[in-house]
Amino acid sequence: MKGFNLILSRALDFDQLAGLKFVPGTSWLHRLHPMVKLGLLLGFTSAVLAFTELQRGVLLLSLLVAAYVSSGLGWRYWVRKLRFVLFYTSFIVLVQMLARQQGLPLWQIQLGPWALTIWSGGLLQGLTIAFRFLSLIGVSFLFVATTDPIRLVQSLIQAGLPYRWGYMLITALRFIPGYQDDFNQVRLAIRLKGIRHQGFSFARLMNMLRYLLVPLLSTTINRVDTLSMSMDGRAFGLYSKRTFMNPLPLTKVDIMISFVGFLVLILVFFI
Amino acid sequence: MGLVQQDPDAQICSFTVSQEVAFGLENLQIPSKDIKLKIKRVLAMLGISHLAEREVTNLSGGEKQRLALASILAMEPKVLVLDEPTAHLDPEGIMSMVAHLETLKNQYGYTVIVIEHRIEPFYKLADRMVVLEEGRLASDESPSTVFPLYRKKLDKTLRKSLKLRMDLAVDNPREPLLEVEGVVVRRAGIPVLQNVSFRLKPGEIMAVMGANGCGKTSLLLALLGHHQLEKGRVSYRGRDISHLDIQERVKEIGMILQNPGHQILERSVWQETLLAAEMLKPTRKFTVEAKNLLEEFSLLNYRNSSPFLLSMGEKKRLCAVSALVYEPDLLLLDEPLAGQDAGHLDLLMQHLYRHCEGGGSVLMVCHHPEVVASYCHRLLFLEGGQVGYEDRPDKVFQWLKERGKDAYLPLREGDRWEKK
Repeated sequence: MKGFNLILSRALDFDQLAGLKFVPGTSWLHRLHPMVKLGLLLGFTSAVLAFTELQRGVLLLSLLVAAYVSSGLGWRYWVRKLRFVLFYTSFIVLVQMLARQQGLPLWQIQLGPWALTIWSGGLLQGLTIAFRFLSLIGVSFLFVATTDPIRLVQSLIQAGLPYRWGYMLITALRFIPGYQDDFNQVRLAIRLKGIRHQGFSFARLMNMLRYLLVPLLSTTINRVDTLSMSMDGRAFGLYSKRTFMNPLPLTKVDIMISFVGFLVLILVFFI
Repeated sequence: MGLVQQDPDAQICSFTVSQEVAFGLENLQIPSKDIKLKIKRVLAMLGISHLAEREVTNLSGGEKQRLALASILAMEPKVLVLDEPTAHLDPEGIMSMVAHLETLKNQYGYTVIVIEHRIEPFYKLADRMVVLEEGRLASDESPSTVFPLYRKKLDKTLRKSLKLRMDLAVDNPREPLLEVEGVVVRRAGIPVLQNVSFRLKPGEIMAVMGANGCGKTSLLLALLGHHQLEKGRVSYRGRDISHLDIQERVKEIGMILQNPGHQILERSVWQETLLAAEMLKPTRKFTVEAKNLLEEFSLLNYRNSSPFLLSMGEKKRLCAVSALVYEPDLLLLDEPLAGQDAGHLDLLMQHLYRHCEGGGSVLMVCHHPEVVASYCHRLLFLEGGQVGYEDRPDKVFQWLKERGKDAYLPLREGDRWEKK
């Protein structure tokens, strides 16, 4: 039962889940216009999905690693934030190596009565899948870590997104730390009342979820209520358009980088 | 008209101070150049220019309160309405808030309406005092007319619990219920409690005071076992409980969290009242005690209602009832008086005295120096996670006075009632 409690508490541990956020900085990626960055993200993602060869996978992942290094986030960030992805991709490679019997046998391992053979085709396929997976997740992390959400939403609004929709995203992001805190406080309250996971049954699990979710929902509703009153009280929605303290114009550097990025992706197609 | 709500954190919708102040101006379609000028002016007016680029998550409670005020002032309303602006502030924060409102009123000509339970800090500032009772206007006079009536009523109420107060001897001979020795706690690598030591004896109510962020809540959570000790020892009735987890400690230690919204779990007020009691002391029946407490705390009419629909003050009272009903020996209370009127404040204190008469003790985070002076046996003052001074309240207040911390001193009669 202790094992079950441990798994449940780990699975519900927001601190482990909420590692993805904007990291302030002054690198070229931080300064890049969010719409250009969004365009590069879509282009890169499309390329990763379009190519199935290992060589192109390695090339795209190398480009991504170079972008990470130049963003000032560094290797530590890469390893720390993507460790669960690295673990998962290692598992994929292992399964492919053992399960896919194609190409040449590379190694044979004798485990008692069982003989496990590692095949070259399996290894190649495993690495291809792992690199694509790492590239897709890694580029999303890089985008989030280098893009100020306010600037992103502002650029989307400037591009024509209704600002009410844009602010739905901003306020959601603004309150993520608050939700984390609420979650931890409700968990504390559950323990304070002496409620324990006593044996596993569907009814008990549902009861625990109710104790956890109902106060969270109630707190969220109160928060939303206060926030909407605060925003309405400051003329939110009074006019169909709004101005910005710091408008985001597209600079020459932005145009140049988007052009270079486009060229690089075209080159990857023809290599 | 601009409204500043009770919880400053919940009304902030941006990430930095400048963005937050700009929000309303952007909605009013003010040009970028003018927005920047207005932000600069309003931040200077409230003395927070240095916070302009600070992230809102890194602000203290008082700074958030001033930011909420700045974001309204930037839109240049004629009338300012503040809903319980002192609810989340320490005494220094309250003093600063009152000074700013005084400037806004006297220098800039704003009309300021403050909705408050704690009227003492606003006595000198107010020109009119409006009292609402059960949804109707009870009086609308100058404070000098209304205050004496209010005071008479207040004194009558306070007398009930002060009669119950046990005047404990200076050297309480009983063995300590709780002994805290050299406790060190770190959160995210930052020390929040440093070498904290004190004793709490049976029958004592100890108040914990200090500025926002000085470690008051962390201390309570460390005693409960929620925060792990890096160093030090917590003993309960002479037994080291440092290694016990929360679920072992809550059998003897009850706690009311700062935000009651987090602590209410059940579907009805009645179920919520009995939840902890039934879980922690399943062999006893508590229905009579629960009914009596709900009645005394004006909650019995809501017994079948959802507790989530109660007001903030009512939720606080419900949390107090659900802790009092199962009678844990030690009560840890994190700002239990926030949002309570004088009558309910006194009622809670009466119950705390009864709890102490039975050999229990109370450790209570409190921002009301007057309450501490009148009701508490001991006062622990925390500064930057360390014990500044711990003794009888009059001695600690004297110590605070010598250090120029006037905001933490109980208001003298003259300060309170005579408008200068």
